[in-house]
Amino acid sequence: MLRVIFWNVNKKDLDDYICSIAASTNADIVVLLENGVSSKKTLQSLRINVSQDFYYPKIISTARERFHCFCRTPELDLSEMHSELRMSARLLQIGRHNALLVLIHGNDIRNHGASQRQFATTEIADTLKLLQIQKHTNKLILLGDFNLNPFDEGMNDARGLNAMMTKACVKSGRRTLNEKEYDFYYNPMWSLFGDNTHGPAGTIYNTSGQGFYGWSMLDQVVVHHSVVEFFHSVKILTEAGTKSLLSKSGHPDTNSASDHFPILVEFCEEGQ
Amino acid sequence: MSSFWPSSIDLSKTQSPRQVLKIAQQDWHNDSGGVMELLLQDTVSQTGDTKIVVYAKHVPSNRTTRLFAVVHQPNEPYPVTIELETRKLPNFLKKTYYQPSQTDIVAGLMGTKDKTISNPWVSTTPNEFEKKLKEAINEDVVRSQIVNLLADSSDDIHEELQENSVKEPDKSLEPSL
Repeated sequence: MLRVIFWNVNKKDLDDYICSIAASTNADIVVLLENGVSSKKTLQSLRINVSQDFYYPKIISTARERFHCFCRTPELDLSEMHSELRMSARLLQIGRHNALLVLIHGNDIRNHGASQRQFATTEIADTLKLLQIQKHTNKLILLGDFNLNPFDEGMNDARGLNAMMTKACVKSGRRTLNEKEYDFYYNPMWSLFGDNTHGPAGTIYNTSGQGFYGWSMLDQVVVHHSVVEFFHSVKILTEAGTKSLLSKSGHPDTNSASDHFPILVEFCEEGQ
Repeated sequence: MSSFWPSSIDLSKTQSPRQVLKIAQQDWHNDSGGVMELLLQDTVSQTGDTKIVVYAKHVPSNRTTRLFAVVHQPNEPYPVTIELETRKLPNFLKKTYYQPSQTDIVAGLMGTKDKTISNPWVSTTPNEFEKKLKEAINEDVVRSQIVNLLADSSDDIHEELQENSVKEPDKSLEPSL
């Protein structure tokens, strides 16, 4: 099983928590967004506290180092194949298959209106098409803080990410709109919403004007229909080893940790 | 040519922005011996305008990076503008940067300072676009992306840590007191 952690750490030094999560989940890959400390420091912490095997995969430009990505299994590769201001595509070996782990940080809610954020997904979709052609794979796994909910238009619009709610929805592979074909993506985050699911109802809690629903699911994993057979599970984490990430009211503990919960994504190395 | 002919319009240069980019693409291929390529992707901007996204590709490693985009109105190649990515470089990494005075800041907060916003990346003729395109490719932000594609910067972090972890002071070499 391949285990990937993604966490927006809200510009804090949460190395202790990160190490606890990496150790307790036996994570192969740790991806951090808005890390408050240098990648070098976090790598050192992971090596000392979790495993000497952790390394920092090759990136194109440290100036665009938005995502701090750590890996402990060299066979997985994780070297950066494409870089943009808010996106980084990493080569990922899943079993015998070449896939791309595409890390995404959507435009922030404070400075970008809904229409701008929705439109940004069409630009992401354009880049994904380029990546499929240039990197000779359609096995794309999108992971990150999209700053959109799974139900927001940009996430499910055909010209956006075209990400559907269930595995059955994406079985046909693609849909046609105005004589153009659009590949389906599967968004498993839908399964984690609300009270009737195990764990919190979202990854971030906000009741201000920027968070109309209380809980939002901004941190997501979205997989191309060709990767669905490798996808095993996704879980919102509320613990870092023995330390809780919850406040008294059951929201992310923004005082000691981050305003986002981390997510743990698991993939099978052979299709199910 | 009579003096009534509009200045800066050269009848021998009538290429569309896309055709100019194709020439740049060929130049890159020739000048880098096939190591570097420019990739062009046709798309549409949020306002429905024609947009060509320009990427650089390092052929041996198949790594790519987005450089900038070129935008013009549909079926109207000029005026055309170049959209550079607004990456936040710290001031110490910029060759030049604007330092606003106290008066500027106060005036800005009061909303009393009117100003004309100029877009230095707009071109109205193929000649001008060629010139701006060369400037864009030579912008620090763009040029460093191109150089970074050619170099492996992240190895430094790994190697530095490796060196630190093996470079324990050799006690046997310390002079005995």
